[in-house]
Amino acid sequence: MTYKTIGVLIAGLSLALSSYELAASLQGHSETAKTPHHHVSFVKPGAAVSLESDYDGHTQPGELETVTLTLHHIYSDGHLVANLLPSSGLEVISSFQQAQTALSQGSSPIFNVQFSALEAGTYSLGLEIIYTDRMAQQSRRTLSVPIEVGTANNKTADKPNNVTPKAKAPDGGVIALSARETIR
Amino acid sequence: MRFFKPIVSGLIAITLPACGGGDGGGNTTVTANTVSTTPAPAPTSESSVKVSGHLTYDRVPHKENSSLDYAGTVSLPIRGAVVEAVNSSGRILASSVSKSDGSYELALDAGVEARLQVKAQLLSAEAAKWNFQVTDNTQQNTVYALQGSLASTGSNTAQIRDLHAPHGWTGQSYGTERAAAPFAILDSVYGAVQAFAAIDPNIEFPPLELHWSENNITVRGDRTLGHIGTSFYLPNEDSGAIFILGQENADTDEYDHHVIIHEWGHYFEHQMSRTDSIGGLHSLNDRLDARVAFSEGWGNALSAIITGDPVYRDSSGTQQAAGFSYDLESRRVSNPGWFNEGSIGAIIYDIYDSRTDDFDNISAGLSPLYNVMRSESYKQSPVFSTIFAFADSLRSQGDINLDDFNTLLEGHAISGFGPQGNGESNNGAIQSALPLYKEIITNETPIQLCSLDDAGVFNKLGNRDFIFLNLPARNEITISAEKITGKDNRDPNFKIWQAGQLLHESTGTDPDQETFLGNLEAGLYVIEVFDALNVNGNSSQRGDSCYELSVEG
Repeated sequence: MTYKTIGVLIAGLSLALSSYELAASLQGHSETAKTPHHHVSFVKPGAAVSLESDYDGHTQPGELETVTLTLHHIYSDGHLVANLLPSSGLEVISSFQQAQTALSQGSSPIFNVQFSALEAGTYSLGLEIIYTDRMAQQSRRTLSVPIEVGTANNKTADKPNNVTPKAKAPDGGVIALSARETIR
Repeated sequence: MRFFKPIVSGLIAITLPACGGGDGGGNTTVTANTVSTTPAPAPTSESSVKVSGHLTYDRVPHKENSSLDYAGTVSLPIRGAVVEAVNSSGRILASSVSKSDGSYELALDAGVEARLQVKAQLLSAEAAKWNFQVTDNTQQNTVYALQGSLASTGSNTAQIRDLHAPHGWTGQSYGTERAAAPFAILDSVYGAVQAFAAIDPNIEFPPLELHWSENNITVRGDRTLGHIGTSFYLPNEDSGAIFILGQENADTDEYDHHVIIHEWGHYFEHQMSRTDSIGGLHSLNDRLDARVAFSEGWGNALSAIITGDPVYRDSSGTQQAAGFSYDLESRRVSNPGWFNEGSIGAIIYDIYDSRTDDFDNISAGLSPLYNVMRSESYKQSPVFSTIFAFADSLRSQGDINLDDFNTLLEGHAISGFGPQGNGESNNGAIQSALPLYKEIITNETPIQLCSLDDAGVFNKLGNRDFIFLNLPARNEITISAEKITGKDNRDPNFKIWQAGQLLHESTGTDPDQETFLGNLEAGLYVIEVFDALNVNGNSSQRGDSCYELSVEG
């Protein structure tokens, strides 16, 4: 498979060489990998891709974390561009900003990403996926992995995805939004 | 013109003009738990102040590349929303619903300190009934409300108070509150509601909450934290909810009205019509399970119909400066057919629209589509909700020219007829995909069927087979599937359906076989057979396998 990356590599070349691999299979798939996400609700149209990661759900401030992101898709042709979208405060230390690859049936592009954050908090590591089919029709989908920094006991990534939203506030209150108002 | 102020005692009383977002008539009194219509009462005080004005929000349009165009922002009316005057303690002093131009009127006492509040809620208790709210799933599903300042109504007979909800974009980011977002979402719904209410003045929409938050991000997980993954409609057994992304610099959908209406379309079919879709990821040119293709095509078409724009747009990316689009009129469909949401969306839109072309000579409007989706024959059909079931109901209504309709379908490589798609020849390059419904007879020769992953997994063409089983009398039966080809340790499963109702699931984990033993009443059933590894398996587990299915009893 051919691949190329476009972007800025922030850290040393030795790190960068392994940081933007696109593989045609799940080789190197970690034993800690989680089950691929399947959307069983009625999701909006977009690229038919899902994301799997081996992130363990906790990182310490300043710690250099390495995760493997595996992209699953349904396509037998066309090509795919992946843009990295880290949330503010999450520093991607060695990685691509954009990668692209031709797709074949059963391929599962793999992205190795290293990151750190100085401040404790909740972040997200996103991939904006742009799929272009053989008729040049484009579709997109953004997928993200939650990153918890400094909150080791709060494994957001392990939370179930079927949690029912909490009951409505009993006081019937509102979330106030400030208007631009004219009174005369 | 004179106005009244409601008498508040015990329960909170709210007065609404008739037509629920309409423009006049009597008044409706809404208590905390009940709704009743009453004549418009006379004002109770000579010192009443007519407080009126206009309510507006920032609508951010799309650029040609489907990114958001903040520079092109326009101010649009907040239509059909609940407007309240509240005092310093939050008690509601008067209430109404804004009109289609965003105007409102309230009657208040003179010299009263009051704050104007516009809830992100469409409410009607008239002949047509609805209650749609935009709430925050990360704050206990509390409704959003645009608020003005606490100010005196003064001593004059009239006071003007205009409220505007700004988008909060400050050039490089959302530097201030995103007050317009809930009202942009609400306005997309308003358009859909009005379109259907115009056809059916007595329509009753089940209540729906649309959950939006700037914390709704592309992470999947705990939805109370905003980890919704993407925008979607979540069907529950007897209700549902829409979740909408709000993640700046990744994916926001509050101004993507095609996305909002697409998801609202799922609400409509789930709660007011019928859907047998299993949901899941999908693209405009995928080869999909027929049920999914129809459901998604319906959503795409409805978004084009309600917005009046056949170009579906979805913005995303850093500073919302990217996006993608799809023109339902373009006919640029890979793999056209009954399994393609692009084809189905175009067909439904072409039935509606007034534009004609070589394949489209139908300009029937929304009514025939509504009539089919609401018809009992469609909702109670023994077959699944697919383009074939829809087309069969539409043909039977007699609202459209059948030759024109057949031409339209053939233009999208669909030739099957009847609710089962008999005679269809387009298999989407998956041989086992046809016929769409196979048939098995008790104690007769087993039939062969396959679960393939050629078009993808979970909800794609070829993953699942549908088999009719007609039982003339109540019977204890054994349904068995045994693998005849494929890799080792496949996992065949069954679902047994009747008129869209799931009766039994048989999900044993014995390798390469599955058996169901049970009593079934007389009737027509559809057995859905699939390899669970083509539904929930990982990449290395997916694959093609074929089975022999038998029914004994």
